[in-house]
Amino acid sequence: MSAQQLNQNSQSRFGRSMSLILPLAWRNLWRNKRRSLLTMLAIFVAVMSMVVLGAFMRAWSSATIVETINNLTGHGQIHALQYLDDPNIDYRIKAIPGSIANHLNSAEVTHRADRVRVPAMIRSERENSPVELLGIQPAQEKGLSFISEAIIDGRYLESNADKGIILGKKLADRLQTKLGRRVVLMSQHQDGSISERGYRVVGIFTSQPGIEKFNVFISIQSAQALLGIGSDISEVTFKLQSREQIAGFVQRLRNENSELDIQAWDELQPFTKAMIEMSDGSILIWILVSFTVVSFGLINTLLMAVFERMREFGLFQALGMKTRWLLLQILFESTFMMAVATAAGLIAGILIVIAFEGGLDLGVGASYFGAAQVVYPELDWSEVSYIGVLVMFLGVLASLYPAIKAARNVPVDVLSRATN
Amino acid sequence: MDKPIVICKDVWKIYQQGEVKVEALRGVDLDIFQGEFVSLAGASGSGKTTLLNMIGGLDSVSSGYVEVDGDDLSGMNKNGLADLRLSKIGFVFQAYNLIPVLTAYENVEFIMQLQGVPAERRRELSHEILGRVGIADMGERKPAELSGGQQQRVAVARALVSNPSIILADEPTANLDSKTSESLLELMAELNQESQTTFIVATHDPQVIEFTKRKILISDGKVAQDC
Ligand SMILES: Nc1ncnc2c1ncn2[C@@H]1O[C@H](COP(=O)(O)OP(=O)(O)OP(=O)(O)O)[C@@H](O)[C@H]1O
Ligand SMILES: [Mg+2]
Repeated sequence: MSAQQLNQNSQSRFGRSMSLILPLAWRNLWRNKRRSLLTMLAIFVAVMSMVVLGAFMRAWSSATIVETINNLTGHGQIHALQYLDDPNIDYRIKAIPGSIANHLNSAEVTHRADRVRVPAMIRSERENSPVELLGIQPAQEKGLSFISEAIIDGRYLESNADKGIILGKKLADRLQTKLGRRVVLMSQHQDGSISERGYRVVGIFTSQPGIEKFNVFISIQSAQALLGIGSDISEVTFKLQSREQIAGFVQRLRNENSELDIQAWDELQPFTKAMIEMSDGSILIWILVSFTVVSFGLINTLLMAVFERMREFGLFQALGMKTRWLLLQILFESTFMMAVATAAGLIAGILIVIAFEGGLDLGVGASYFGAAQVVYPELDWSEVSYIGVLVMFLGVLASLYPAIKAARNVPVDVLSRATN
Repeated sequence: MDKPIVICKDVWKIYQQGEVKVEALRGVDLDIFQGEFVSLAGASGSGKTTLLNMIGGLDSVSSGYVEVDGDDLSGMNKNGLADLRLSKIGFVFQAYNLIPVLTAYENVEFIMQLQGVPAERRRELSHEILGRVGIADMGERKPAELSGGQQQRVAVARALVSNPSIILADEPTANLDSKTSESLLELMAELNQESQTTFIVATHDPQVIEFTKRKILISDGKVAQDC
């Protein structure tokens, strides 16, 4: 026999054995429908939840990042040294050094706004409240922070010299004031005295509860006048073309200047960062936990299926089937089970994600933590296929043990003993 | 008759069960020739099944020599034995003979499929043989839908269909009533006559022993009588 013939022969032999065990595996799968279906259900739920959870967590993280960035943080900020430890009128930026200004003027930077930002007291004729006072450049804030689009009543600030004040809805309620009324801001003057001025409420905004209660906005020049700081500012906030550029950009600024404190958003908002990292971690934990549960179920099902069929395996061997084919038969059985359930789980997960692509409202509760309230889950096909491949791979791995048990531990006397 | 188709020389089988050694076979000497219809009789525990297992290559001897159709079984590994069973030996057990998820046809075709007989030829042969064992109209049924006797007929058909050198049957009639046993025996005898296939049947059943031409009595793991 030539080598080619031999090869052909072994190939057809392989095909033959396949056509023998594939149908066997498929039919055996349906022998105990309930058990197989339950196992498949578990795999289905696990896979579906991985897809859905993955998409939602990712959506939530990215929405939370966007939210954080829009809520005054931007992609990064520049402060005087010590300001962040003690956000006080004494720690201000007198002039942006030329080298830093050059970077801020580069094409990477899409938005940049200067702010005065100090603690203050606000007082209406009835109530008072501690607040954080922001003196802003109204035009520059557009596209950088939420405030220009958050006005629900009245108007936004019109110029750097606008005389009005914008309050959050919650703060206005608390102060029992409203549009058109006057309120008094009181803060520390740069000379150490207390400075106090009245402003007319020109706009009311909504936002996250914390911001709505705590932040008030006036024009930058009003603030500078109130505090007697000339044209000094507390911070520069900037936004770049993309988030990927942040780390590099911040590093470049830092290399230029050590007299200023330059920070990226995630350093400014460590809580948000931690929350996002935790949620990423929890996806992983969920995948591990659900997969562990599923694989135990799978192993259990297969072991049961194998043990109750020991006689049959003895029979297969007596009839001349080789152990490796027996092993493959069990593996196929579990692969079928995994494949059907995984495919169904992936499809169901994908459909659920698509159903919520328009946005899912998590309720106001979420925004108390600075998290996004509405998330827009989005499919990541590489994640979906990763889940599919991982589950299939681990599933087949998990079924190796029962399969080996079936193929190796078939004492021939199982067969003859069965007769007694 | 020339060379024996089965040769056993001083075959010993010792099972080790924990501390206890069970001597299931204690020096069996036996020659069986092509076309014989032999019964292995003996009390329960005398070693009948063990001997069939040795001849069928289902288990290995502790010492001694077994040869089937020219092949020395002691020199074979697991795969070699599987091939031997596939090509030379047909089995009929007392029960659980058939693969539950396969129909009667498919059960009969199973071995041919392992052997690589083309599909059409398999169909042809399986139809023919089920006809010969008298259940032509039940080919599409699964084992659970067949009576004990019908199942045994399918098992005999399967054992026979690939033309093995010998058919080993372990208490094939144990679950059957005497009428059904009778017809199964007649069937086997007929097939034995027709195809000159060697049958070795282990049994307590007097009806079977009566029926066979050569009766071998096993006692305490040895051949006590051979006539
Ligand atoms: N796998 C095994 N492990 C330990 N002892 C065994 C094993 N198989 C058989 N034996 C012992 O070997 C002896 C012979 O058993 P065997 O099954 O061959 O008897 P038998 O003649 O077929 O009996 P029966 O008529 O009940 O089927 C018995 O004592 C039995 O307990
Ligand atoms: Mg027995």
